[in-house]
Amino acid sequence: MKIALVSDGESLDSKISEAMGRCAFFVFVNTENKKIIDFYSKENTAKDQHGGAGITAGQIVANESIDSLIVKNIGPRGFSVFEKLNIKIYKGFDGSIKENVEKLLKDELESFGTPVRRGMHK
Amino acid sequence: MIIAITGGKGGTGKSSIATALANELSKRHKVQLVDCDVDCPNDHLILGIERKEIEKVYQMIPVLDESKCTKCGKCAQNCKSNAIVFVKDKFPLFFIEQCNGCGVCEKICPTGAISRGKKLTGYVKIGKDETSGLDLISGEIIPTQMEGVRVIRKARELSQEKEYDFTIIDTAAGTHCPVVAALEGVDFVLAVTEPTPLGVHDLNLILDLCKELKLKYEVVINKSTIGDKNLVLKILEEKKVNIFGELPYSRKIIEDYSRGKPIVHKNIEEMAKKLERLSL
Repeated sequence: MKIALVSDGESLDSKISEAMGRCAFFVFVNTENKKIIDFYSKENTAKDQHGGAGITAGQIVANESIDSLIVKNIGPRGFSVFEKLNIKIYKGFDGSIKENVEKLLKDELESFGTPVRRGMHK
Repeated sequence: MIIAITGGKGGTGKSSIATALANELSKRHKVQLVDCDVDCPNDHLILGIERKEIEKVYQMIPVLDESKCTKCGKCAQNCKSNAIVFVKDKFPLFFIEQCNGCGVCEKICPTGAISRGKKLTGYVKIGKDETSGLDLISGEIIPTQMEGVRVIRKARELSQEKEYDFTIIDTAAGTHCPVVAALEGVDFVLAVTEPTPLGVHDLNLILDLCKELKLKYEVVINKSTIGDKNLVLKILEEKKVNIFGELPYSRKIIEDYSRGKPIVHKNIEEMAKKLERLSL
């Protein structure tokens, strides 16, 4: 399974980000048999975009062919990108990237029902 | 002659002055008032005019024919509004609420898979004051829609400005695109301000905009008997801008306004006469 997370930094010890469309980095984690195999990160080039950052950020993440996404918050447009692409969204908790992935692997994260708030409405 | 009433700050009295001048001028001339404050048009309320819809304003939206789409992603790459998501090997996803209807996706698509649909963004409504003969045109955008400029352009296109002695254009507050669209091609601008720090701050911005747009402009000081008029005078001195007129703060004006009546005042009469002289 390949999992994407929104992150303040580029490592497994980085903190999960409060934002989705405007997070600093995405961390992509490959797992097998409920264990972390490897990971890599990408800068969120959409984070300073004038409007629709959630949509563009969604595109960056979805292009990495992921199965699941862990976020703390997600706006309606970012949400619908993943919904339309059948990517599962999970609600992360305050903690590191690694801690969030381990929780997901133990089936302890809830899936995100509905988007929480709008971003930078113009 | 086309005169725009603007001012930067909200609540300085743009609509009050616009309706008052239109009302006064319509006693002697063929006049129309174009309400370009499309988010909250309310000149008809001040004038007691009932409006009817004459035109719907649409915006182009892309419609994808999946049978023609080769999943090349060019539409998403070229969309400046970030309204299209492309993920490799998938059909592009369109986010219509983000789309501004520019149509570049339709033009760029190499296989003609994108065609023109449309969505309703607003209306143009008209009305008439039967006593004075004043014509009113107002643009009205549907809440949640972003393309105010499109609605303003349609209202102005339908207003046939050449047919009238005076066209008064009432703009929205601010200095953003809908204000620019309302100011385009006008002969004279009246920036309505009030002698307060907020009024003066925003006056500064709107005067810079008028200068940038190479318009002719002067200032109307509304509620001129309250606050600190020196704040306004200082800016006008710095920018070398003239005072076109003043309107005092008065209980009668506020009472008329609260009942939805245009302001009648000798200073409005004087300003109307000044506009008549300018139009010659």
